[in-house]
Amino acid sequence: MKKLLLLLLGLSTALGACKKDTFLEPQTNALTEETVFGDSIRTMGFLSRTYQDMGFTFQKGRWSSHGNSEHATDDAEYFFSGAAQVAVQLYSGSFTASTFYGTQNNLSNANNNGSDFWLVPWQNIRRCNLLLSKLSDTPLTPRMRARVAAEARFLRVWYYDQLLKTFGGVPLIQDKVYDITDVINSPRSSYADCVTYLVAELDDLATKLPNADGSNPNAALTGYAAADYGRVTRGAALALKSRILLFAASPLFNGGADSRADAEQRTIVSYPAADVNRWQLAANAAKAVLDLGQYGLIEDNATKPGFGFYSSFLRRYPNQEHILTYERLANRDMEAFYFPSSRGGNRYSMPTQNIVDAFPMRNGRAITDPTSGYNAANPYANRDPRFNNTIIYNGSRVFRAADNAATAVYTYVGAPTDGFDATTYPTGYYCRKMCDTATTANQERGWPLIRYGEIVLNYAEALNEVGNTSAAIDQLITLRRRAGILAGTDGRYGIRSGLAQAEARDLIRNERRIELAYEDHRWHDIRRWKIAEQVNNGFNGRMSIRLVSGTPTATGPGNAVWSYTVVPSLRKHNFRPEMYLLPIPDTEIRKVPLFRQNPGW
Amino acid sequence: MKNLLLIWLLLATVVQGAYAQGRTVQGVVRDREGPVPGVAVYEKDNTTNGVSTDVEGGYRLTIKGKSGILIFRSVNYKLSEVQVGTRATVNVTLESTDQTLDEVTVVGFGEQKKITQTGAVSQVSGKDIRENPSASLQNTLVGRLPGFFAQQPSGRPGGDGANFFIRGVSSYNNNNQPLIIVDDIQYSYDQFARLDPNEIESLAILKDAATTAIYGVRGANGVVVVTTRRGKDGPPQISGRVEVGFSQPTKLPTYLDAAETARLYNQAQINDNNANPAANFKPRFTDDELQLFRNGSAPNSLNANGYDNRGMGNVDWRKELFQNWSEQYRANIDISGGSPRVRYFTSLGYLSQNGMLKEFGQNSGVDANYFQKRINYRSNLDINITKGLEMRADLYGNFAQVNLPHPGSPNSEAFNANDDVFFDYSSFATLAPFAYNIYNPDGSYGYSSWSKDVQSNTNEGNVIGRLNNYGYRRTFENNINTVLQLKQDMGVLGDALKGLSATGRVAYTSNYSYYRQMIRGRNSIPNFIYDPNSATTPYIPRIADLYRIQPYGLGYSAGGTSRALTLQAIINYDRTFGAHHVSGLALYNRNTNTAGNSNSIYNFIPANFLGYSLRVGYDYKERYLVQFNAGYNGSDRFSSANRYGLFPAVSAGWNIAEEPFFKNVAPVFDLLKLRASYGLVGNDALGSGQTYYYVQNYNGSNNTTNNNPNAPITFGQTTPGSTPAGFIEGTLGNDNVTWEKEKKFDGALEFRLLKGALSGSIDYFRNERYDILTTRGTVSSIFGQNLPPVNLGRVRNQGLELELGYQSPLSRAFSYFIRGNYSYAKNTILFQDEPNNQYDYQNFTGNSIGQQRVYIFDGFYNAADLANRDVAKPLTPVQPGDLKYKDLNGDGKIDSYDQSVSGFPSLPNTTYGVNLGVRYKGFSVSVLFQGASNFSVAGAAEAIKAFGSNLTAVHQQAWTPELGDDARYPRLTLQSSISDPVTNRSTFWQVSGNYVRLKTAQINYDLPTAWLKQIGVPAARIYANGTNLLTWTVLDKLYDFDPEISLNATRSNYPPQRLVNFGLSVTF
Repeated sequence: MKKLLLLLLGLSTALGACKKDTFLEPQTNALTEETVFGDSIRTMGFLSRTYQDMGFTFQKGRWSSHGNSEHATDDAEYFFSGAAQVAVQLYSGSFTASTFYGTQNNLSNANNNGSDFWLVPWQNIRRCNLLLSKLSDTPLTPRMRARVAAEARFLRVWYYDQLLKTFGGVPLIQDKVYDITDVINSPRSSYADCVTYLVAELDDLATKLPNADGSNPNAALTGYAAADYGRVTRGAALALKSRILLFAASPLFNGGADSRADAEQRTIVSYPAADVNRWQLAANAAKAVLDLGQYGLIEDNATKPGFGFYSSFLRRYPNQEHILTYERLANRDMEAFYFPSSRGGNRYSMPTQNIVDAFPMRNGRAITDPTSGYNAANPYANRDPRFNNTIIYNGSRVFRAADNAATAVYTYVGAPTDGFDATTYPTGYYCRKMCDTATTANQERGWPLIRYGEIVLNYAEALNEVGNTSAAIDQLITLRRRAGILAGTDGRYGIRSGLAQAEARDLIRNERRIELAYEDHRWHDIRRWKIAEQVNNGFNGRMSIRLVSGTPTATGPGNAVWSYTVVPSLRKHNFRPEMYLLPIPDTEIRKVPLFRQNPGW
Repeated sequence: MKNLLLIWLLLATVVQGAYAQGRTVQGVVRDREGPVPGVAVYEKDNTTNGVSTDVEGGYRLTIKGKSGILIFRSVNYKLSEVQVGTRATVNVTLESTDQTLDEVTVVGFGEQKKITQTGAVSQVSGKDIRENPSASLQNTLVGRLPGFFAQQPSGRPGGDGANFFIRGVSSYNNNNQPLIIVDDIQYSYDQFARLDPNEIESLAILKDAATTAIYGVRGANGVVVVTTRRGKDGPPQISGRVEVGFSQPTKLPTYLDAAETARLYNQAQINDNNANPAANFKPRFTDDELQLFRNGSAPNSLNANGYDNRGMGNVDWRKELFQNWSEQYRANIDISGGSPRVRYFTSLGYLSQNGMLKEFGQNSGVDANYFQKRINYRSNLDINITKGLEMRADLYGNFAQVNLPHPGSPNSEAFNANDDVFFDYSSFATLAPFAYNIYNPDGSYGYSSWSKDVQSNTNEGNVIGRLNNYGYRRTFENNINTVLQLKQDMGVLGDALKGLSATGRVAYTSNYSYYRQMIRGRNSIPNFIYDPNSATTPYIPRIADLYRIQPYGLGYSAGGTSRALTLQAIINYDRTFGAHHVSGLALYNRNTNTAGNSNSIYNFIPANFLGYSLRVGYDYKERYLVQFNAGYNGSDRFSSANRYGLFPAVSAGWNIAEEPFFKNVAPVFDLLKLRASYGLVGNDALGSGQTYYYVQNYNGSNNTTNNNPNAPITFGQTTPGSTPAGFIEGTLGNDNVTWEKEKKFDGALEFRLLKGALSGSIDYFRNERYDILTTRGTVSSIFGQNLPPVNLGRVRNQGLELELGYQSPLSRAFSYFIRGNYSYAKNTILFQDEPNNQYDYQNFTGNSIGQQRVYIFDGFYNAADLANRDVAKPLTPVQPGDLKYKDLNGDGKIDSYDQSVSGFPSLPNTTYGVNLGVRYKGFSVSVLFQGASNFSVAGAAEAIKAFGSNLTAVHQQAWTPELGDDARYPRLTLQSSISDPVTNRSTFWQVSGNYVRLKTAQINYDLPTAWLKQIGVPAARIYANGTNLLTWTVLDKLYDFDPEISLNATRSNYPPQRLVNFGLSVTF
């Protein structure tokens, strides 16, 4: 017994002594910089991760899984109303430079504040730069390295553009990968410098990136295999250039800085002076994409009016309309986000009366036009087919699994499940755009980050602004034809001939609103046009429908008679002039003494 | 397991041989108060020959051994050895262990005489701890130990342990928890909370550098040292206790009834409509419907105002969900004793703590209440192997079961923090008093259009149905600890080595837990909206096509597992040379802790620690005292260059009362001591999650940065099978990372006079924590990657502790005592790399850890304010009755720059306790009042916001033009506003939580021995005690909560409990 115990004691101390050398050494085998960039698959994985945030503003579950910038516009009402919700802060104008991005001293990316506006781009710019700096050490072939470098550089431009259109000029850090000991104190670059840099990058990338079909005319770089579909292309580079130049020509950035800005701020947030020639540059850039001949609109009005428009969002490959997409596995993301409860959706985002009124009639004429045939007592009849393909209204039919058929969704007061209630969130409408309303199966799809229709609209807008209104209208007509609007006897799809530039401008803007609805454009557009103070200040409209008599059935309204009343939404939108640009996070101003805040903040 | 314990016990009670001597001795055993019954009296060399004293303290014993020495032993008294000689009558007076100057206090790896102690230690005996029947050990300490700060936010069985800190907090990194040492082995918090008070001999907190430096890199937050009871020489002593307790919440919010709630809801709608008038507006409830509510009924139709109120109910949810009292049972049995060779203490304890829910789930065969059941066991053995070699073998631990119901609360995952019936209870959207009828006329679970459509984001179904059918999760814990120790007294080898001993110790701890659950998923039971007006479909299903209850699903998962191995080798020296007393200690300590981690990189990667400690002490005639302590530690959390650190401390004391001159001047003093200590201590608990801050890791990750619900990108023309693996750079590494350090100063005066009747002490301390790991706040996010924390921060923490006690002479039949303590600990952030704020009042630096930036409440807006351009207003529109805030920067608008750091943190900086007791013969009563002040409480969302929370009396006092600034709540609204407590924290919502509590009270009655004799029981006691019995707080001006809820609580949770407990204890 005694010996045993002594042995034990001896053993325990001996154990301590002999393992001492490595006892306090770290014992994980986690991945490190060397193991990632020393391996070609992991290097490509690193690049893939940099693609992953490409759709961060587009994705519907952006904030707290259900908010998005579309709630900060006149197009949609948000299901939630908590004052802390990012989307609520954005539309109610209750945010400041110090609250919007989280309250901590240190900005940290959280999905319950607006920090992603600032952080996601910078995080990804670092990733791009880190990858570029490590590429020469990787086992990839030189041609592959060159292509990966081109992809990374495109993504860097993409993330810079996210900053540029939200904040104005930001520091251009070039290829810098910051180290822990680096002190960051660089001023914001001017808006003009940012645009010049990004456009130059894109011009160069357009000679390096593969075409939409995967071929790469540049022999120094590899092309894309079939398995690479979804990576950035030459078309994407030119299309992004078109978007950047369109923004640069727009009223907000083309000499349109806030009146409170001093001279330095003016150059940071805009071109100090307006120049109409920037519209010409934008028009040229859009034209370059159209002339590529690699893309087009998906048109099918034979199956059903506007079916081409509807199905373009549900088709992953081939999709001639998609220039830059965020490709996804089969899913029901959009349906879960938009659909009414009776269809298993979460109706986080509901269309307003405002956007409903923006859709013209089937004949292409606005509902305010006395000749349009609009009947306020039967407001949903004979509308632009895009209306049907964008909005679920009282009596719209949507597939329901329990019925194994498309049955009617009712939104009238007292309707089961989806009905209108004045005291809460419903607007009387639900969104159908990008959703599959014919089945409940998962659907492969790509989020259209840039699609052909946008370039057409970019081109039309730029042409109109340089005075070429009739050519601009021709572009609209191609869109309207595809949408399923009737050509009319004059073949002008409801567009009066001889429109003045200002009239055409309103028409183009309206067309852009309904064509690109819910595709992450509206919030940017009303800012760059500087119309947000007019259109996004006050209460949105909602539709309260009452059943006067009759009994609606599952297949349709039957003998039901309705009365329609537009009521205001519950929550007021507030847009102040400084909100045309988001404030630089206050903590950043505190940390970087050379940073100038945006005017008015 | 139990068999093992029995065998252990049998082994320990080895009977020793005996032979007769044959003389009878008798006498009476007393203490200062009078006769002491139940004292074990036995021969020193023949311990089996023993008796217990009777009621009058008398004994009679026939001597059989040779030594002629009698030993008198009883709990709470010092062991007494008496040479019988030729006497036939031997009367003995026992000395109580907690009344003498020879009293020892526990310090790190040993004990010290209190008189020569130079460090700051507060100690409480196991007996005092047992006066509080709370199930978690730390809850029994509140108010008893100066320097002990605690806050108990929850009363959930199995999760009611308070957060506690020694001398407040000194680091803003949430790693302020003290080190816990039980019998020299490090313990985790959960293990500590589950210790059975019956096993505890004493508990001490070590507060200053002199006492904590020996723990080196782990001592900066203070140390809790627990010693457990051990066997003593003598015949077996068996004591048992049974207790029955009843608990109820100290405070559970009471909500308004359906009629009042509906009236106020209408009012809120009217208020909102005034801001944004709509044509034909009518509020939700018609006058007829309000009358229905008042009559105890509820509307059930599409009403005249155009709203769908079908299926509404009128329910008192408090009555339906909770029972008035829940029970707690506790039983203990312990046996202790020993012979010269073997001493043992074994104990077995059982605790059953029931939850406050009514019994749900019985119909579906499940127990869906909260509960905890726990068995604690301990066997402490001391064996003398040879002369001078002593073995200690301890085996102890507990088995516990903790049960949680699965109510399926809105917006929650199963069993996460929000899946809690208290959320449902406090939420207006889920459980307004008119939410729905529990049952329909046909017996099905009721529901309403209101809950289904209007409150559709909390549409989770009938709460009673959910509780009855959604099942439970039961967590099983098994915690086993063994300690094996050998101690060799070197003194037996020769006189030169006298006082020297060597100890080797191995301890192994294994914690294992797993849960089993039986649950149903969301929407698995049918509810129906009852519409009596519909002839065709009177029962509308909540979910179309759901008519049957779906089956249960079983689940199992292993939970937190951790294993810790500790090896220690100690050399101890303690010897007196005439007037000189020298002591010393050298320690080698090695510790490996292998635990699960949610970060897969660190899962089951051992955390290793290596340390050497040294203590040298000297005193001259117990008059001049000096001690040196040091720890030299290494930890694997740091890179090799920064791995080892030295933590030294010096302390000194002067016992003025021992000076001959002073004895002449003021003989009334038994003790008057000045002492001070200064030293450096460290803290290597740098935060969870990441183990090695000095290593940068890359991760495989497919999620987009923004927590996008699984929307990874994919490439390829054909249907891709999967998404490409993404790899991502992790937080950068900081090669220079090191532990936090704290310089601690402590100075104190201790005194005791009037023969020990009056005693007290004053301590002043000043700690400066530095090298606090801080994520740099001044580096721009343009950096693009998370920065590793660097050792930058500094916090000063200083305060005062007072203790004063008076004990009336115990020799009288009537005696009383009064003891009070007061602690104050205030910290100040000196540096935390905070960005340069635009306004100084926004700086957190210079304030205390945990203070918030809030608006300053300045009354309510009225109509005149709105018209007045000079009154500052927020960016969003305001209405009369919204909260008005001070425009601190004077720019004419209210925005976040007008928020200043105000109020107090949620942890009190002042805490105090007063303990009073009286005793008359066998009766005794003691009470402990405890209070805390200088802390802030704030609520939000379901905790206070009208229509987020259910409505309370305070909402009836919401702003109206008539009430004006007398209103107790801003205007009622269903919309968000500047007054919103979630987004716009202000001093209106952040209020003081100061409270005073009757923390514990105990009544004891020692049953007269005359009765007990007849049933053959030597001693028995009945008692009643309780905890959290009464609370006085200023919090109830606004909140209907217990004052210890956490800051910015968003809802009610399982409230802390008031417990009344009745017990019987018997000693054989």
